[in-house]
Amino acid sequence: MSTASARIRAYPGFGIVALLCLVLLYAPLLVVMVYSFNDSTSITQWGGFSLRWYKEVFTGVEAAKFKVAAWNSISIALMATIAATTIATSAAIGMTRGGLWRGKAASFALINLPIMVPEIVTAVATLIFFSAIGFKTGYLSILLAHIVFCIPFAYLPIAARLQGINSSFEEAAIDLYATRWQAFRYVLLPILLPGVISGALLAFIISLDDFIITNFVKGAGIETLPTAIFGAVKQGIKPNIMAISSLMLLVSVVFVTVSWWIGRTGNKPGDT
Amino acid sequence: MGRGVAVALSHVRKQYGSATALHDVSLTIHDKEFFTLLGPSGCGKTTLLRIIAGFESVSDGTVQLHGKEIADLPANARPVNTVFQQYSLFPHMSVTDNVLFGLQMRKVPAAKARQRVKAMLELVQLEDFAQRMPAQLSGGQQQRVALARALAPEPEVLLLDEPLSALDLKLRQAMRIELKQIQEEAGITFIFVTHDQEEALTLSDRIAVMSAGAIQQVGTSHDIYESPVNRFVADFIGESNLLESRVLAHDKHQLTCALPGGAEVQAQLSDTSIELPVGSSGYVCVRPEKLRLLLATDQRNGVLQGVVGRHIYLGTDTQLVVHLPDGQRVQLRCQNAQQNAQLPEPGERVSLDIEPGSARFVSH
Amino acid sequence: MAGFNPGNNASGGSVFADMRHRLLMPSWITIGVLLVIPVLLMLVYSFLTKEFRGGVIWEFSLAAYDQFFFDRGLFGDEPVKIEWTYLTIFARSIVQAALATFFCLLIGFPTAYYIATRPASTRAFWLFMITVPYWVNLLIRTVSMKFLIRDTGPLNHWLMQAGILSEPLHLINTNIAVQLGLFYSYLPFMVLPIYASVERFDFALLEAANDLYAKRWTAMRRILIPVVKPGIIAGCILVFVPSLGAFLAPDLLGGAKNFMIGSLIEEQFKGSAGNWPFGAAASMILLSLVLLVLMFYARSDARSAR
Repeated sequence: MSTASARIRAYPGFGIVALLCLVLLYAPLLVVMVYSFNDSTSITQWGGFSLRWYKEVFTGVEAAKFKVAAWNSISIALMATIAATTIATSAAIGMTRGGLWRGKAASFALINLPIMVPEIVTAVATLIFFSAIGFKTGYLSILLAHIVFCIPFAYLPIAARLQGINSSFEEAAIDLYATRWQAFRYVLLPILLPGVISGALLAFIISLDDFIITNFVKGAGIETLPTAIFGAVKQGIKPNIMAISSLMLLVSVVFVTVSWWIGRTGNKPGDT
Repeated sequence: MGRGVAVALSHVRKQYGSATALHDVSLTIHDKEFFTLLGPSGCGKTTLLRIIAGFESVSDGTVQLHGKEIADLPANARPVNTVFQQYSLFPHMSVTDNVLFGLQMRKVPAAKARQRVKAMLELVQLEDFAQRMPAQLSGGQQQRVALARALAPEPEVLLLDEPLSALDLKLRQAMRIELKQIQEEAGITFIFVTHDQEEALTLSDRIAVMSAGAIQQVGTSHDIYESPVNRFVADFIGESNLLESRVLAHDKHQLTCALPGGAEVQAQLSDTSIELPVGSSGYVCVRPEKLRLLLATDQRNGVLQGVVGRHIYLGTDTQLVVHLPDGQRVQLRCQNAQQNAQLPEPGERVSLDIEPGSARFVSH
Repeated sequence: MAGFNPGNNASGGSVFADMRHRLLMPSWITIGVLLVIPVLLMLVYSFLTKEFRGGVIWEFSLAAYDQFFFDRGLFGDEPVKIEWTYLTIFARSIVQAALATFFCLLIGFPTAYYIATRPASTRAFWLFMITVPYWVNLLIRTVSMKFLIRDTGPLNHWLMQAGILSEPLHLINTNIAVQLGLFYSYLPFMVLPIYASVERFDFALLEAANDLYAKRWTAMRRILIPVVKPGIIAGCILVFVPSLGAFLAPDLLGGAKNFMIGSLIEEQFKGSAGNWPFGAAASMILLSLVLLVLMFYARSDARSAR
C-alpha cells in the first residue's frame, strides 16, 4: 500500500473512536473483574488482593445453589447444542445443496425466525404453548425452548461454510461409488467440520447465556446459572456475584478463542 | 472402427425449466477410444458429460453403457468415473486415501486395494507422494492424483471435464502428452470435454463439435479441420475464410461455385448427407494457409483479386489481410522462412490462388 | 448474522438436491411446533379473558387490547379516553431503541471502518477484541454496567476522588442509565456487520473519487456509505430490534419508573398481578412493530440487490 493511498483511506479521528469503542466495551467488565479480587466486604473500597470471593463461590452458603444451577445450565446447553447443531447441519445441507425451488426463501425465513422474533416474544409464546398443552414447566421445557432458539445460531456458520465448499466434492464421492450417507460421512462432514464446530460453540454459548426465555419457561424450583445470578443481583450486587461473573467471562473468552482458532486453521476448504 | 460400442446415446434431450440444454443428441463412442466433446461454453458439452456420469437425468432419450441401459441408474451404481475440472481431491485425505476411496466404497479386499493404489500411483508417476496431502501438491500433481483416483476402480469409461483448464500453458502441453500415454496404457475409453480446439485436435481419436445444445459434426481431427460440414464448425475450428457463394453446377459432391469477382472454383461438399441443387447459396471455405499469393513473375491471374490491407507479424509467419472489391475480406498466411519473403505493401493490388482441392462448400 | 437473504449456490444440481425436504424437515417441525404454533397461540390468547391467578379463561374478549389503548375509568363507566400509560411505554421503548441505534452507529461505523483498514495482522486482534463482548453473557455485562455506574460505584468514587464531582452522579434508575445499558449491550452487533461490508469495499473507488477531485468527506458520503449501506442497515436492525424488546437493561438499570415493553410484558406473566391476555396482546403489538421493521429492511435489501 502506497502512502498516498493510505492517506486517502484514513479518516481523522476514526482511530480515536475505535479506541473509545474498546474502552467502552471493556471498562465495566474489567472493573468487575478487578473488584472480584477485592478483599474488602464493602465492595467499593479497595481492601487489597484476595481470592476469598472465589472461595466463597465454591464453598460458601450459596455454593450448593450455584452448583446445581451451573450443572443445569451446562447439561441443558450440551444437549441443546447437540440437538440444534444436528438439526441445523441437516437444514444447511438442504438449503445450500437443494438447488432453487419454490419456498426456499420461506424456508430460510422459518429457520431464522428464532433470531428475528424478539426474545421476550418467543419467551411469552413458549410459556403460553406449554401452559396450553399442559406441559409441566421445568428442565425439559427449558431444554426444548433452548433447542429452538439455538438452531439459527448453529445454522449460520454451518451454511456459510457449506457455501464455500464446491459441490463437486460430494459428486466425486458419489462418482466413486459412495452412498449419499457415505458421501456425507466421509467427505462432506470432515470438510464442513470447522463450520459445524463454530456453530456448536455458538449454540452452546447462546444456551448457556440465555436468561429471558429460561426465566419464562423454567417454572418454580429450577434455576440455571443466569436466573440464579439474576435472583441474587435483585438482592444487591455482592462480591461473590462478581467472582461468578468473572468466571463466566473467562469461559466466554476461552470459547471465542477456540472458535477463532478453528476458524483460522480451517479456512477456505479445498482452496489448494 | 471395428471395435465394440462403449457408450451409445440416442435422442437425448435435456430441459431445464423452459430452457433446452440438449436437443436430440445421438452419439456412439467406441471402446478404447479417446473421444472429445468440443465446443464453446454453454454449448451443452458438460451437461452431456454429467448425463453420462449420472449427475443429471435425461428429459428424454436413452443412454447405454456397453449395451446396458443406464439412464435410470444413480451415479454411484455406474461403472464410470470422472476427473473433475477443479480435481476435487478430498482435502482431508492423503493421496493414498484419495485413490483408495473408490476401492473401499466398492469393498475391494484391503490387500488387493493397496496393490491397485500402488499400481495407479506408478502409472501417474507419483509413488513418492503417496503420503502427501492434496494441499502439498502442485497443480499438475493434483491433476495426476485425480486421474489415478478415477482410474483405480477400473471404470468402463473415464470422463474428463476440462481437466487441463486449471493448469498454466507449459504444464497443460506436457500433461496432454501424458494423458494420451496414460489412456493408451490403461486401455479404456476416455470421454474428454474441452473448449480448447488445439487440445481436442492433438489428443482425440474422434471429436464431436457441439454448439447450442446440438452436435454439429463428429469425426477425426483431420476430418473436422479439413472438411467442416457447416459454417459453425468451419468458423470454430481454426481460422477460415468464408466467401459468399452460389452453386453453379454439381457432380455428386464435387461442386462448381461462383467466387466474388466472377471466377469459378471447384469445391467439395463436406456434408455428404445432403444434396445441394444448382443455385443454392452458401459459403466457400478456404483455410488461410491454402491461399497463395501470385507474384508478378507468375504471369497469370488467380481466382481472387484484391487490395492488401494490413500485415500482422506472428513470428513463424505473417498474416495478410486482402480486401476484395465487393467488401469481403480474406486472410492469408505467408511463411517468414521463405528467403524471398518480399511481401506486397498495403494498398498494392494482388491476385490470389486457392490450392487445388482445398476449397470446401458449406451451406449454412 | 448480517445477511437475511438465502444464499445462492451456483451448483444447482447437487447430489443432495432431491432429498432437500427430508433434510429440512427436522428444522421445519422443531421451529414450526415450538415457535410458529406458540406465536399463533399467543395471538389467540390475546383475545381471551384473563384468569386472576395467571392463565386464561377460554372466552373471547377484546379486553386486553381495550385496556392497552383506552381508558374507561376505574369502573368502566366514564367517557372513553385514550389510555396513555402503555402507549407511553411503547413510545419510550421506540425512542430508547432508536437512540441506542444512533449512538451505536456513531461509534460503530468509525470503529468498523478503522478495523477494516488495518493491516491483516492487527485487524485480527481488533476483530477478536470486538467479538469477545459479543460472546459474553448479556446479564453479566448489564450487571457490570450497573456496578460501575451506581451511586456508590467505582465511577462516582473515582470522579469524586479526582475532584470532578462533589457529590455522586445519580445515573441508576434513570432513562440515561437504560440508554447506556442498551448502547453497551448491542454495540458489537453494529460493528460486526458494518465491518463485514467495509472489508469487501474496493478502496480503489475512494482513490478514483479522489482522482476526480472529491474531498475526503464527500468521497465518504457519495461513494463509501452508499456501497456499504447494506451492512449499515443490517447493523441498525441488529441493534434496534433487540433494544426494542430488551428486558435486562431497563429492569436492572432503569427501575420502576423507566419501564420499557420488555418489563411490561414480563410483569404480566409473573405472580398474581399477571394478566396473560394483556401480556399476549402487548407481545403481539411488539412483534408487529418488529415485523414492520424487518419488512422495511427486506424491501431496501431487495432494492439494493437489484
